[in-house]
Amino acid sequence: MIKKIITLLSALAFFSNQAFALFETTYWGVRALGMGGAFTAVADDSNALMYNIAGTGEMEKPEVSFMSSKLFTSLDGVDWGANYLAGVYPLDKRYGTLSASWASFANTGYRREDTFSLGYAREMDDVLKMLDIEWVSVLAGINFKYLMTETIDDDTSKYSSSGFTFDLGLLFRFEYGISFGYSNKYLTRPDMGYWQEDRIKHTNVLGLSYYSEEIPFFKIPRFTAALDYEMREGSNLIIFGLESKMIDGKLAVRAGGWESQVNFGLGYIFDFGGILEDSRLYIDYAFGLPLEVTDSTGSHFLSITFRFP
Amino acid sequence: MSKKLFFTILIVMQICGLAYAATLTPDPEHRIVRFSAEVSFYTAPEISVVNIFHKPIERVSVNMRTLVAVGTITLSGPSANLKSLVYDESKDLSESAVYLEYYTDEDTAPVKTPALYRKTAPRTYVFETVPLLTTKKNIYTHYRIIAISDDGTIGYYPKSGYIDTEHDGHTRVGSINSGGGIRILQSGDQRRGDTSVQFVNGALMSNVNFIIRELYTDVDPLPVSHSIKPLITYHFAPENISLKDNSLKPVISIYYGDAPAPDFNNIEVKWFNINRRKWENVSFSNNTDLRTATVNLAAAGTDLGYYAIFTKGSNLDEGFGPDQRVLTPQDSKITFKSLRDGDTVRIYNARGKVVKNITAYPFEWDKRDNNGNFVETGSYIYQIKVDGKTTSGTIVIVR
Repeated sequence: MIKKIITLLSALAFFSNQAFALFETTYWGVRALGMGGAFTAVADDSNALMYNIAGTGEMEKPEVSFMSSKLFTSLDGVDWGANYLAGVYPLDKRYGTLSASWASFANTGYRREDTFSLGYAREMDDVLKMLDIEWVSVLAGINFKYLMTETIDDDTSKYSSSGFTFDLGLLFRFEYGISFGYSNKYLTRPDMGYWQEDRIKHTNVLGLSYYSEEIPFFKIPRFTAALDYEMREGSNLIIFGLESKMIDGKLAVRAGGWESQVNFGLGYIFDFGGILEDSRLYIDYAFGLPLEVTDSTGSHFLSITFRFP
Repeated sequence: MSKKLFFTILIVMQICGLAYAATLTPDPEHRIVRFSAEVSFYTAPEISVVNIFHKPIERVSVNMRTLVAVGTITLSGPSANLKSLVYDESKDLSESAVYLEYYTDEDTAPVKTPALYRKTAPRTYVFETVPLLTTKKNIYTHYRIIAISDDGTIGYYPKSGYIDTEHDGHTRVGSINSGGGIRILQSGDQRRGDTSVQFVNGALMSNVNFIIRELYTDVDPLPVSHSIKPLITYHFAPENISLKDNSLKPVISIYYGDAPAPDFNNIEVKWFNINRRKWENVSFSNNTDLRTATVNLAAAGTDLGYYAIFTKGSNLDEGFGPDQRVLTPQDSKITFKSLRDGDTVRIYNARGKVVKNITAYPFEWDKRDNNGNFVETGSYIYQIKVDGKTTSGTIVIVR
């Protein structure tokens, strides 16, 4: 079985090639980035809006997250950054979860891409129960997006465009900690061109993850391994990610990446008492080390997430 | 013959001679015998000769590609004039008495093009052929000058055959010794000047072979890439020569033709400094009639090497990055400046993946990846590696 998986992954890697650009810059969600961005089948916090909206359906408490980052630092002439703000508000289990986010990528002085989204997700267990299916938990979600771009030309002329689209997400939680996720993004392929038709490429992402309370023999606690396969109209990408939560789940250590970059991440959870009892503050940091871009001290991501009681 | 017979004949001849002499009228005073006889000579009729004096054109500028032949015509014999006294562009072509007849390797038959001419003295004309544009490079043009007098006599230059041009291509090789001298790369337009390098007597310490080369703008690599292209570029080699004194450096002349038209004063001359890897302005004198810029290397403090004519005010910025950072659909490509073979440029997408490697002149990016496909809209990083040092920047593709 393992050999078959490795063979399949090798085959996928062989066909992996990248030509990403328009709204593909997935540099949001520090926890997700610490795991390389392989989050489609993990998707269990406010990062899920960018990776698999379905995952917000199983969240039980409201959460707000803010991220800021600096990409490819130490490169003169390159001033890139990404920001992310997200909020998740679970309603009753019967009604699902609402979410909203703003994600921004900026090539300072030249170009900016903003994504505003409103999401809805829900557990489908009640439906499955009616179908007498209990061996899997299914979540589904939809994310409505409003996209904006702005470009400043060399002669300081400004151009802008906008468009609507939506994503669909599915998440399957199986026994033994195995999850499978599917995210279908930019379904309407909005035209973001200034002078010519320039539609965002339709993206399908398949994710697979495995969670264990403890990996035997190695004694790795709360361990998650994840793999995403991103397909974008002829351009494919494999992303892998790992996470382990230590010290009673408070300290998270992460790693992941893709063909041209390796990421590492750390996270710490602060629990509060008193009036904020049962609330939590997450501080996450991720570092991206480019493998092909030279002379860079990497990309740095920092987020603060507050989970309400 | 027997002696008797011989002497008999001799005596008889003398008697006959004496008899004849007796019939002559003697001059009573001088006793000189005068002979009178009728002699008539045959005189051949006089013919006209049309002589054409012209310095052959062996080469036509690769970028200007204009052939103009000049010279003089003299007439001797009965004809004192050409078929028509004067020809200028206001007249019908058929009235011209002087032609340039030419053909290229691609023509099936010779073609005639008229020359402008005028009388400058009795039996003397000067001529100048109408500019002939030879549009293709590496094509031989064969020509001759034809002049017709008013009595129909035709003169040719050369007297037989045709002059072949382009046999040197865009390079001229020639030696100069310690006695000094000049080597010329013809422009092909004899109204104007030529490109040349000239040494004074005693400058060189030995015989040196010089190469003057005019660069094709569309083929020959410049010493560095740049988004601003020269109007015309020459290479003078060898770049390093031994001189008796630096004050004896040569004087070079650079032909620029119609390149900077319409304002021939709107030029500057730059020399490529190999050590600094950049074009640098040099002082020069401009002869707009001859369309040549002359540089005294000793005064300019430069050496032989690459010299180019640029439009005045060409700002060849420091740095290697492209002048343009945002590429719209109207922009087919960008150029990374001042780079040469051995330098590298890499373009990365936002995921840090190399999408394009550029390792050779002209160091241009046409918005395509290594597979030849157009890249997507978005932001890209470029990195230029020169002598082990890396310069980075960003490019945006929009549509």
